[in-house]
Amino acid sequence: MKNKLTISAILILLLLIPFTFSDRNDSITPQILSDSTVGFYQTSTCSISLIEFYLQNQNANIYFNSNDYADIKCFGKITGVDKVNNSYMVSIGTNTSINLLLQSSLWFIIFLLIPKNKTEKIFSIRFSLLIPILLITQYFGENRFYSKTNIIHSNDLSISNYYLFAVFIFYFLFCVVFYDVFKDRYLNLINYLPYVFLLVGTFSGMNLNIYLIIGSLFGIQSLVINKKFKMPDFIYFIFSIFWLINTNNNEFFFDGDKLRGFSNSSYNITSQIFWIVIFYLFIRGFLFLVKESKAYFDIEKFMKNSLIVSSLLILFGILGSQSPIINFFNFYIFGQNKRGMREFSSIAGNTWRGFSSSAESIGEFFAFTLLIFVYCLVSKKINVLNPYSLLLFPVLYGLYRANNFAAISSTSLILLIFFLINTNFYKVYRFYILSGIAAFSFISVISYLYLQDYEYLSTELVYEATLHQDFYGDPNSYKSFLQVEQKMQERDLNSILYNSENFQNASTSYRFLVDIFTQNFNIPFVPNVVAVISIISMLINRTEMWGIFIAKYSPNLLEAMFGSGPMQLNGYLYKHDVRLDVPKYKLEALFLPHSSILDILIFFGFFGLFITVGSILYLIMKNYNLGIFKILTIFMLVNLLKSDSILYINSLLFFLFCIMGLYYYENSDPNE
Amino acid sequence: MKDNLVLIENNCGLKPADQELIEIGSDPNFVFVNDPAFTTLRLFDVEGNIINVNSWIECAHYVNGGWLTTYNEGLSGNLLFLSIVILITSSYFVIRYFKFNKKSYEK
Repeated sequence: MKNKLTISAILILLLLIPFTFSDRNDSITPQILSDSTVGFYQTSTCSISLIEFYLQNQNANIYFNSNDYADIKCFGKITGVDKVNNSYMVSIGTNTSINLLLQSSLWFIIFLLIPKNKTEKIFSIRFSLLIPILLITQYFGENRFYSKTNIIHSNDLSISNYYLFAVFIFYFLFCVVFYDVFKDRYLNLINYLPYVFLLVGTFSGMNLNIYLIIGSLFGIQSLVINKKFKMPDFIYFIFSIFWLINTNNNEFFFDGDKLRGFSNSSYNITSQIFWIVIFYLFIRGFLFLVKESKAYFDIEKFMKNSLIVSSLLILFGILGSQSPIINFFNFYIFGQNKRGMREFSSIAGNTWRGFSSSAESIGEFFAFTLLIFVYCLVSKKINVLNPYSLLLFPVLYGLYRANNFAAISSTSLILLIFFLINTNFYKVYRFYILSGIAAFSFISVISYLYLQDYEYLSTELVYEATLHQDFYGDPNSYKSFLQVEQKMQERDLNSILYNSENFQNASTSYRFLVDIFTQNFNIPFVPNVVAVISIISMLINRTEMWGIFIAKYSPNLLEAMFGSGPMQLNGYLYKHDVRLDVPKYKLEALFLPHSSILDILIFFGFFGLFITVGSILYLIMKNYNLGIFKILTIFMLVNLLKSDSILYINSLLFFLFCIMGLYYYENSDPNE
Repeated sequence: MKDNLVLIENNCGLKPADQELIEIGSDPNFVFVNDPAFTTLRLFDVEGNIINVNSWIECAHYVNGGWLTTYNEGLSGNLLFLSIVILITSSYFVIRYFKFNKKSYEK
């Protein structure tokens, strides 16, 4: 307890001190912010600390903005003030290089709160020192990103480039601290995994996440300890060769947006090498962690931590929406990708934005927590009156406000099935119940297809994609739209592509789907695969998003087979020109595929998708027992079909944890 | 401002054809109108202070007054960062060394 108090005190001091520094000898003192003093703050930049300013201006309508491009000397100080509508935008200097030092220190101190293991295992530091070299390559590969976010960034390979030298030394220190902190804690880490949803871990101003570094350091440990390359390693190596062969010179640049910290911002050889290696080490490291922690995994502790994290998310989310300074510090302390919600209205408050970039991802987490709680209640017979049960209210509230219908409905269905199979009624009438459910599902599907018009359902996805292609190009965009609309009313896809200009403007995936959809042969009673996907997209309300995906996704043969590489979205986002049929204000928005299956297709191609999905399904089918990991894996799979959650590091970790839990903890043949 | 046109164009981009070179001087009542077509630029003064400009004429005005899009502070910024990193690293290793020695002694 004393130790925890000391750590908390150090944490608060470490956080607040950098934001209190200012020159006490100058004559500049903070003034009450008003229209007449905006000019004062604009001319006296880098002179007043955030805390000084806040003490003088606690009641003003302020939004604190972090200015990562500020100079080191401006860290923690006011670097500008602007009036936007009725509120004041106050920029706080948060230099990217100092962020790396300060946020790493804060987060390592937080990791010290994780209890130590009883036994120490062999843990090597030597090879971990390869990681600084790997991390430095990112500064070369993603030079464009760092040039925009760090005033002192330079990737010149010269002796006078003290910046790169300093970064290298710091990463070296990072590896040593990692060794010191985790060598006798790492077996306990898995029980604290839910905290990745609270401590998001993205460095401000950087395209890097602390879990990516920590995961890759565990990956190195895995390589040192196991010293074996297995089939998946060789497959990944072969894929890597194709990804590198397929990398051409281009000017693509993705600023990361809500994926910052876990997405390749450039598409060049160096950035590809960085992401290929770090992604491999990260995944390998996490699998190593799950495998090694088998004896230490405690489902009840995991459940309690999930409940605590869910409640803290709600608490800090609400506090951040009410107080601008807490909103700023939430962003900084927890390493959020985007700023938290500023108001608590129904739309802004929907997503617990900040703690999660995506409503789907956070909704899945709340639902995940609920599932684990119910599982422990039924299977582990925990007392429903234990104090942690109270934390279920914030979970339910969070799930409701996340507005994730898929998560809510799939959780309800899974819970219903789970309760049903635990009853004596099911055990006695199992055959009749399963037959009844199968018959009911079959009749429901047939009725839906009949009532909703099969022809419309089966063609809508391709027609949605047609709307977003740049067909019948004309300076008058309305004229183009009318031509496309006429073809759509005639339900005539082939003649659109007879036009050579349209053919050139169509994405390769669009051409491929139209080709499959309009083939001449027909097997009776077997629906066309495109029609099936179209019906599914209509059922789960993804027709527009998947239509946009088809319009934008234009891979060459290699990309289609092997993908473009891990976390590489540049080709998908910028390679193919489209004319999106969306409202004007949405034109500049980030259009992600809205399905993790499609994300895997972009990164790893058809072969990668086949291997990934095939392995997961094989694992699910192979395990007959309905354990918690099987339930969670099915839940995640259902939800990932319509969400981009694997693009977020915390959701990906949870998904991997479910699959690996199923493999290592519930596998009937663990020696396989 | 005409005398500094080359410097201004190097920092702010080419002067728009319809833009007049007006002398704003230090008129406190002058309000710069944001130009939506102009990409916001960040200018620095000799002390490293920062200002964002939202139109070509606003940018020209500040460049004429000595502000630039580049802040030639490189060496000291780099050195400062390196010094902080070396200080943190050496402090950590000193503490680590004594802690390790203490543990060995206790064993």
